[in-house]
Order: sequence, then C-alpha cells, then structure tokens
Amino acid sequence: MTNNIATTPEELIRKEYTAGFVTDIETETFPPGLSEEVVREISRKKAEPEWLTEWRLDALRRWEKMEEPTWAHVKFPSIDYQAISYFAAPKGDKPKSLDEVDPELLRTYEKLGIPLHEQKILAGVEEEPSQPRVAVDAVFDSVSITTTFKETLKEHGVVFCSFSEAVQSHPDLVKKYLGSVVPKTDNFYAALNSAVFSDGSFVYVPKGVRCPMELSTYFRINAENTGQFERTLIIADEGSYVSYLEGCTAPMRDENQLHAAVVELIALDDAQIKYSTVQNWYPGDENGVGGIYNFVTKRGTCRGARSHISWTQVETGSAITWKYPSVILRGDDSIGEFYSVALTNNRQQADTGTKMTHIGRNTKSTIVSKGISAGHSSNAYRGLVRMNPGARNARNYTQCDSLLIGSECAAHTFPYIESRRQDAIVEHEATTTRVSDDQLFMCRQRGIEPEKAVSMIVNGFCRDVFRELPMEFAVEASKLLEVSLEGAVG
Amino acid sequence: MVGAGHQSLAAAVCPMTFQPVKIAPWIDAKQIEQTIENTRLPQPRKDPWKYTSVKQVLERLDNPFERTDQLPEQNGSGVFVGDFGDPKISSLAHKYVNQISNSSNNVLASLNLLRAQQGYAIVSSENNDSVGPAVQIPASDSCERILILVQERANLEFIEHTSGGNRVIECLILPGGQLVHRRIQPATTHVEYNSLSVNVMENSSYKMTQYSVGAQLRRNDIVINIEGEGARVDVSGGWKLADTSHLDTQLAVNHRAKGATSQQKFHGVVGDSARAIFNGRIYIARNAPKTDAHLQNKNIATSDGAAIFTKPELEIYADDVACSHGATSGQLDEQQIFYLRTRGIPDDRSRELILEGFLAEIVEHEEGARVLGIESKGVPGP
Repeated sequence: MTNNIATTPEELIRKEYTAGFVTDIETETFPPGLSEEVVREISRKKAEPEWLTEWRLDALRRWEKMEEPTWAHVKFPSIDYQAISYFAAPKGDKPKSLDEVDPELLRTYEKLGIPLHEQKILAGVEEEPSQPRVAVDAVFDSVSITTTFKETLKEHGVVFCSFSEAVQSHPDLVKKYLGSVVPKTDNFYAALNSAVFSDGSFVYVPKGVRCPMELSTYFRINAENTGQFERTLIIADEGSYVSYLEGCTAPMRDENQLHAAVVELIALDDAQIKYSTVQNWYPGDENGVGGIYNFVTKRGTCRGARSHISWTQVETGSAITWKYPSVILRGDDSIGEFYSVALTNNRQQADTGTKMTHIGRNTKSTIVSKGISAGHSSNAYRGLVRMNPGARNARNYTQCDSLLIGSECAAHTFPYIESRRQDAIVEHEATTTRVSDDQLFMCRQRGIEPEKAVSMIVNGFCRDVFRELPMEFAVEASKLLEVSLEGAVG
Repeated sequence: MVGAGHQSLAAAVCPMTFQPVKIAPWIDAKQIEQTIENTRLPQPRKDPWKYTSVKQVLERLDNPFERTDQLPEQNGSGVFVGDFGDPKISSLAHKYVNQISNSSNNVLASLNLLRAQQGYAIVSSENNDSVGPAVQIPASDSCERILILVQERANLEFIEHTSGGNRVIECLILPGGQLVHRRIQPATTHVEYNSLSVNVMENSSYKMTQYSVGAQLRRNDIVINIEGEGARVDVSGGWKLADTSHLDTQLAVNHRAKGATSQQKFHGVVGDSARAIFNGRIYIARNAPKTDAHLQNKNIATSDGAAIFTKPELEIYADDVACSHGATSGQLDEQQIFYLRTRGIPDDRSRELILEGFLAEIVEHEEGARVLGIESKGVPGP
C-alpha cells in the first residue's frame, strides 16, 4: 500500500460541492411568514385569475389543519414555517428575451454548465446539426428567468414555458389538470406547495407529436432564508412522446432550506413521458450543518390505454431527501417505471422510493432502486406496489439493492406489497452488501487506484439505472458520483 | 385523529370486566399498569397494525377466559415444568417474565400478564445432551403466560398448539443451548393473539416452524433477539387460508451480536376472501458485523377475493454483512398446470398437486403437513 492512501473510509469520504457559490444579485424577497395575505400577494404578483387565488387559499386553510408527518426514517429539528420567506426573485421586470437577462444570472448558469444560449447543448459543446438540442427553463428562486427554444417547439405545437406563463396563456389546460394527480390535500408538503407555489415548468405535447428535443428545467435556490416551492405540470396528449430532464443546485449555507415541490404528469392514450432527475442540492457539510430539505411530491398518472411513464432519478444532494415519484396505472396496458440511484454521504439522510398503483388491466411496472450509503449517512428505500381488484394480469418486478461503504452508515428497505388480485404477479428482491474486498483486490491487482476502483464498482452497481438516463445526463450523473465518492476507500 | 384513536383504545383497555387470577405472588399489577400507561398504545391503521384490528384483539382480552390448571405433561428427563407459583420455578420466573418481551416494548404482552389465567415455565436442566420427547403445549382459548428457559449447552424441544387464546411466550436460550419450537395453528373461529419473544445467546440456536390455517383473526407477533456471537436462527412456516380467515404474522429478527446467521422462509396459499399479512424484518445493529441474514416470503392467491399484504424489511447499520430478502405474490403457474395436464392429470388435481408441492417446500414434519392438509407422501421427515 502506498502512503497516499488514507486508512479509514471515514477519513477518506469527502465531498466537494462545486455548485455552492452565491450569485450576488439584487433580490426582492417577501418578509418571512405565511398568511392569507402572503398567498394573495404571491398570486397578485403573478397576476393570477381569481379561481387560482381561491384554490391557493383553500390549500392554505387545509394545510393549517394538517399535522406534519413523522413516519419517514429521517430526523430533523422541527421546521418553523413562519421563519421562511415564501417569495424571492431577482429585482426588476421579467426579461422578455435573453438579452435582457441580468449578465450576473447568465454567468451563474454558465458556471453551472447550463446552456441558456440556444446554440449550445447541455454539455456545453457548440451545436452540430446532428446533435440533439435541449430546451431549458431556468428557474431562479421563485421565478423562471428564461425558457429557450420556445419558438422552435411552438412550430411543433409543443408548449414549454414557465408555470406562471401557462396560467396566462393556457388557463384551460392549467385549470383542468392542476391538482388532478396530486390533490392539494394529498399530504402536508403538497398542501403547503399548493398554497405558495411560485414557478416551475409547464409542458403540453399535442396529439401524435414526438417532442423534437429534450426539455429540461434547471432549479437554482440562491436567496437566503427562503424555500423553493415549484410546481411542474406535464401533459402528454394521445400518442405523444416527451423526455424531460430536471436538475437542481443551491449555495452552501449553514442554514437548512426547504424545497417542497409538486410534479404532476398526465399521459393520455398511447402517450409516453420520460422524466429524469439529477438532484444535486447542497447536501450540508461533513458535520451535517446546512443543506436542503428536499420534501417533494412527484406523481404521474397513466390515464390512457397503453400510456407509459418512466421516472429516472439520480439523487446525490440534499441534507434530507424524502420523496416517492409514483405512477397510477389507470389505463389498460399502461406501463410505469422507476429507476433510482440514491447516494448519501456524511450526515445525509434519504427516504426515497416509489409507489405503483395498478388499477387498469394488463398494467406493468418495473422498479430498480440502487442505494449507496457512505460516511454517517442513512439511506432508505420505501416502496408500495398495490394491485387493485380490477388489475387483471397486472405485473410488477422490483429490485432494490443497497451498497454500504464504511461501518458508520445505514441502509434500510421498507417495501409494501398489497395484492388483491389472483392473477397479479408481484416479485420483489433486495440485497445489501458492501464493496467487497475481492472486487477491490481484483482491481488493485490490475493497477487501478483504490478510489478509481470503488468508483468503477459503484458505477457498475448503478449501471441498470444510468442506462435509462438521456445521454447528456448519464455522463453528468456518472461524474457526480465520482465527485461524491472522492476518496471513499483505502 | 391520532389522539382520538388513542382515547378509544385506552377506553377499551382500562375497564376490567372480570377479576383476573393472580398467577404468581411476585406479579406487581400496579407496576405493570404504570408501564402500560407509559407505553405508546398501538395505533389503528398504522404499522404494525396497518391491516389488522387491534381493537378486536383488545376486546378479546376483555372477555373472561376459561381457567385451565392443566400443565404440559413432563415426559422426559432433563426438563422440568411448573407453574409460576412452584417454589422450584418462582425465582427464575420472577427474574425473567416480562423482561424478554418487554425489551420489544410490547404493551399487549404486559396486558397479558395482568389478565393471565395461567402461568408456567418449562426449564431444561444444564447439559442435558439427549433430547427427550418434545414437551406438548396444548391448545387453549385461555389467557396464558409461558416462560421457556434453555440452560447452557442444553437441548429442548416443544410443540405448541394454539387455538383462539391469548398466549405470550418468552424464551431464553443460554450459551450453547438449542431450542426447537414447532407451532401448529389449526382452524379456530376465535380471535387469537400470540406473542413470542426469544433471546438467543452466544453459540446457541433457535429453530422454529409455524403452520397455520384459518381463524377469524389470528395475530402472531414474533421477536427474536440475537444477543450472542455465533448464534443461529432458523424460522420457517406456511399458511393455507380459506373463507374469510385473517392471519397476520409480524416477525422481527434483531441481530445484536456479530457473526450470527438467520433464515426466515414462509410460503402461503390464500383463497376465497381470506387475508394474509406478513411483515418480516431483519435488523442488524452496528455491533453485529459478519452477519448473514436472509428472508423469503412467497404467496399464491387462488381466488380474486384473496388479499396478500407482505412487507420484507431490512434495517442495517453494519457494513460487513450479507443480507437479502425476497417476496412474491402471484397465481398458479399455468405452464406447470399444462405440464401435468399433458400427463393425464385432471385440472383440479393438477392445481392441488402444485399447491401441495409449494407448501411441501416449507413443511418439515408430519404434523405440519397434516394441519396444512397436504398429503404426507413426499414430505421429508423431521
């Protein structure tokens, strides 16, 4: 063994968070506190119609009567909801084009590697005609800064804009589908979001259209003492296809910030939605100080026959991750998928998984979950597969594996299986292991440095999930894991 | 809402409609009541009572139980059976009763001690290297408390029949001891509650089989604590449910010492409008590296009204471990049926044969085969 190899995993597990800078920009922020007046003010700022203001207020009144849930396998001090500011946005009017966007903001996105200029693709390389393009909606604190390729998409009939914009331009669609998958009283955090949601993305893909490019939203929290409460709504009309990517980062701060988003997906007959997330919120420092509380409700409904919703997530950030991207399989022959890699390090905690509710006939779901725990972290998979009495010939296959790196971390699995149908088939398997000495020895013997070896082993462990990611994200996710595991094993 | 649930449960628990018998002078009812007061009562529709009515179990505790004075027969040498009042047993019972089950924080076990109509202990003598005939614990619809103590390097085997009662068993297996426990649960129309807590010390072993058929409501809480290095735990069983029977098995294996192994394997057949609930948990503490723990639960539903709820859990705090679990739920394999049909076996018989084969995988003795209603042919001997 050489000298530069540290002796214990604890010494070695360090994580560099490169997106932790703060953008120095003038911000308009609401004073902390939550009341009907605050909700009305958010709604007024966005010039929302009366029905939406009332919808928000109803959610607030219901939220006030709700109790904070405590069942997750995570621990955190109680949140003072009156100490959070519920709106923060760069000062000034919303820019009409990219040229009007504050150069400081543009620099922020450049630093994060997010192309806001339409000639670039996500990886930052100049576009070549043969390469796929990515349309980006950039959400900064509570507002959307810009959305790229809107015109190109419009030619195909695809609506891709910020949620606030959709309320103005497509009120009928918003009214019809908002809260139809995640009702405003679904849970404590969804109710809070329904009251105070600020911006997020809205996508509508019309009948028979295959969206010509990847759509993506990049969420950035910048302001202090704020929370981010975005709302995303994606509707894929009959026979359409859309692939949507989501990324997120935040500055390094000693305080915890709340991110309580709601994402609703609706797939009609023969439609397909592919939703990918690379979640890299600030995870807090090695002692667990600071970091984002990522309490998100994500749910899709396969409303139409032969529809297909697929969630792929790579979760490496956040002090606490508490979310279950789910699919309600209502349409006959519909398909739900969930592919997840969740990595926790230092003092991070994750309680994540999925729910697959089979209602329609011949519905199928696949769950592949890979949890990696390092440092003093805790990583739990929690899942529910429910076969309702009408789900004739429904099928589910679940595989959830955990990998432990270091002796101080924890990995848990809580899969609920509920079957009320004779011909429904549910299969679940799970394993928990550590990076084995044999694997490491084999790599070391071939001259591979220990860190590289672990990285290779972890990447191999996650391969089933990575191959579901769009190419640009797969590269990013792979790199993210390398950074996260830097120096993980000796 | 949660508060209201607590209130109604507390109301169900507090009034005592009959005078319980004091099964031993050392039972301090006041102290137990105090413990119950301080313990969080089970919450309806929440884990671990998500699918079974805790109210029904509590109501059953409120109905007078028949008192039976009959103790299990003591056939072999090397084992002693006596009630809690027996001078030979009294001090041991005083020392251990409600200590093993208390560690799992089970309020129902404390309630059982208050309402118990009978309490006795089965104690093996040290170093009894030959296993005598198994001690038989007869079926009873009474409220009973049983302590089983396996002394160092001793062997003990007991066969337990349950039938509509409320029975709490605490087992302690001292270093090097071996305990074999066969539990048979025939049909009953009552509400039945069984709690079993086992502490397994170093280099000792606990082997349990449990075979169940229908009951109006049958709940089995099983907690096995591995407290010593190198211990071995092997728990397996099966159920065959029909009509509207309800069976809920909550099994936790807690690894609290290093280098131990545990296996859990359960197969179930659920028909008509029956409900089968299985929650199997493997817990591995930080100080339990080199653990090898596996769990498997397979279910076959034979009708559309049948409901299967299964949750195989892992909770792991040590890295150098090998753990796995698997759970399946499905119907009979059409290909297997086709295979038998092509060989001239009628459809009904083909289905029966496949189900028998499925249950035979977990049946280890004749009595188990009998209660599950499968032919003994082809079933391995004990």
